[in-house]
Amino acid sequence: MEEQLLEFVKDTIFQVTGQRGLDYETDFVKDLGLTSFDVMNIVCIFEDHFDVDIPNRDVWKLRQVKDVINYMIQRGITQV
Amino acid sequence: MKKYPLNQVTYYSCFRDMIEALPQGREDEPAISWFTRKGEEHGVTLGQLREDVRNLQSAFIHHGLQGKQIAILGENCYEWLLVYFAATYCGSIAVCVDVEQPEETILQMLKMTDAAALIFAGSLESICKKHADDSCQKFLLSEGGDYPNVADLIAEGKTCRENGTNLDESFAVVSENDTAAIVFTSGTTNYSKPVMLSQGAILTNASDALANVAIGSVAFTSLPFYHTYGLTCSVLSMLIGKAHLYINGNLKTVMRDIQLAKPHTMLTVPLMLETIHNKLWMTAESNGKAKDLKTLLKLKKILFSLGIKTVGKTLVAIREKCFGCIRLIICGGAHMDRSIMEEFGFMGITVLQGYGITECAPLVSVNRNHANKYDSVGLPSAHCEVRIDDGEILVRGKNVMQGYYKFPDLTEEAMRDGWFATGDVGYLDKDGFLYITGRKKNLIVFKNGKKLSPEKLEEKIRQIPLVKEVVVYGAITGATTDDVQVAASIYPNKERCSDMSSYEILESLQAEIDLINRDLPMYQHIQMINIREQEFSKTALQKVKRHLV
Repeated sequence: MEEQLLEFVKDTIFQVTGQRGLDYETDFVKDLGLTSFDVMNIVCIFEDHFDVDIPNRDVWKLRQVKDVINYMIQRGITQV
Repeated sequence: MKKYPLNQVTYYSCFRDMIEALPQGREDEPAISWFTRKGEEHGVTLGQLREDVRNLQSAFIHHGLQGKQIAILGENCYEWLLVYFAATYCGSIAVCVDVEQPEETILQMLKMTDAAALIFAGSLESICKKHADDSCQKFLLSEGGDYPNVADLIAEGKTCRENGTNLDESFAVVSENDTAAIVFTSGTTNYSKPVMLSQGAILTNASDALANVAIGSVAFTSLPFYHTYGLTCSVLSMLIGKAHLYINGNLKTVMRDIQLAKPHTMLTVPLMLETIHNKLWMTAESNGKAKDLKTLLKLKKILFSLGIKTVGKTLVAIREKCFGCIRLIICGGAHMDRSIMEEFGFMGITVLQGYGITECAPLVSVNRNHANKYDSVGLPSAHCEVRIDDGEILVRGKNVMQGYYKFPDLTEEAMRDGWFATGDVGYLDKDGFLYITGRKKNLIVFKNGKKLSPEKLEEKIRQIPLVKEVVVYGAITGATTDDVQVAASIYPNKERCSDMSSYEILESLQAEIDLINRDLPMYQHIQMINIREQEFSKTALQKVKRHLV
């Protein structure tokens, strides 16, 4: 499941930023140079795809790829 | 000094007058609309808005909240505005809480403003539960939690009105000098100060904005309502100016909502314009059209300088794809790059830069539709006098705050012979346009007595393609604070330097900085460069928190 989610996150980030080659440890701001606005656009795609609402205060905590994956699992996402 | 005639506009002295007058003869016209997360459009007419406000204020009176502080905590939504309007309508004070602050700061804000009621979004329920004041009433902005919500209050207020309860209180006189709101400064200071603004200050300022700027019939805002720029300029001005206002409270859906709403006028901050601008160029690059676009814009620059201001089919097509129907953008909150505003201008989009400060409700000056100087923040608004004292911008007028709530010493410190000292440095040109050259406390003061506004150098450094964000500051190198060297802390544009090593980035930046230094007096030379790994920490209005650099 985690690997499927990782692939989905990778695809989404590519769609928004055109950047590839991420892993669990990749930091959105530090490694990819994304602004808060870019991160919100990525989160928007997650919300649409998984039909969940991610409160903005939670978004600030999603700093790395692995944070997103853990968050999704915690929210009971079982299928990509 | 040149005279610039003002647009005709209605002025209101209190919120009740405004709410009652707006729907006259236009009850069924759309007032405020928004899109759900799934993109469904919802909205209210002017008549419905007035009815909701009347009912909600009646409920506030019923709950003993008239004249007391009502704190609003949430991101932009219709209910947020209703609470604000109902509170100010019945003579209560709306406490506008910046919900991007950390939990401790929010709780501190609630405590320091003596809120008698908290009305909050579900996402802030856990924080509000921690507010340890048993007498404080709690409500939710919308359904789904442990407390009654705004819809429940509206129903309750409606019953009160039908039964004739609270009638005397409902007609209690609210004057223009009564405090309408407490708003926290979002400045780059170390802590937020609660600013008290009167009914007259806010409403006069909202109308003043319209006297300077002619807006379109459909407007869009995603500016946070808990800041004065968002509330006064992007909500009140638009409603008074008879625009149909689309609101957005979620950065995630801003771009989508702009496309759906098809606004003519948009109020925003530089970050968003820079983002749209970057996307435009990235698209052009990926389509192999960047070179053609660059040439076309260069040609337009020449034609515009000759007074030939036609946009042309190609640029109209690009504009429609990137901006939809937007033709007017009002930009404030931070300094906007001239080159981006110029490019937008070539595409037929007017960008008007303005200047405001929370303590001035907030608008101090703004450019005019047909008197727009890109480097300036425009002409002072009608009820606002501006003068420069030792470089600092001072403001006097109806829009100036009543003071900082329970901080008389800070209020006294901020006022100078009846003028509010903004802490910003600037000048007025011969035509009366205001220019900001820096913030007083950001000034780099050299040992030789010379001073430098870091913003000036930052603008130059920001032109370097490898630079995404930059802060220039005075690095202390000697025994005293005036013994400084100019330093630049740079956050590189990762997209442009993904194949470069840190050493190559630094070397390339140094070469560009050397070129900049060539045109500067010796004492202003940038002598140190620090590469940052992370973007700078920013306030809700996307201003860099300099004190953290």
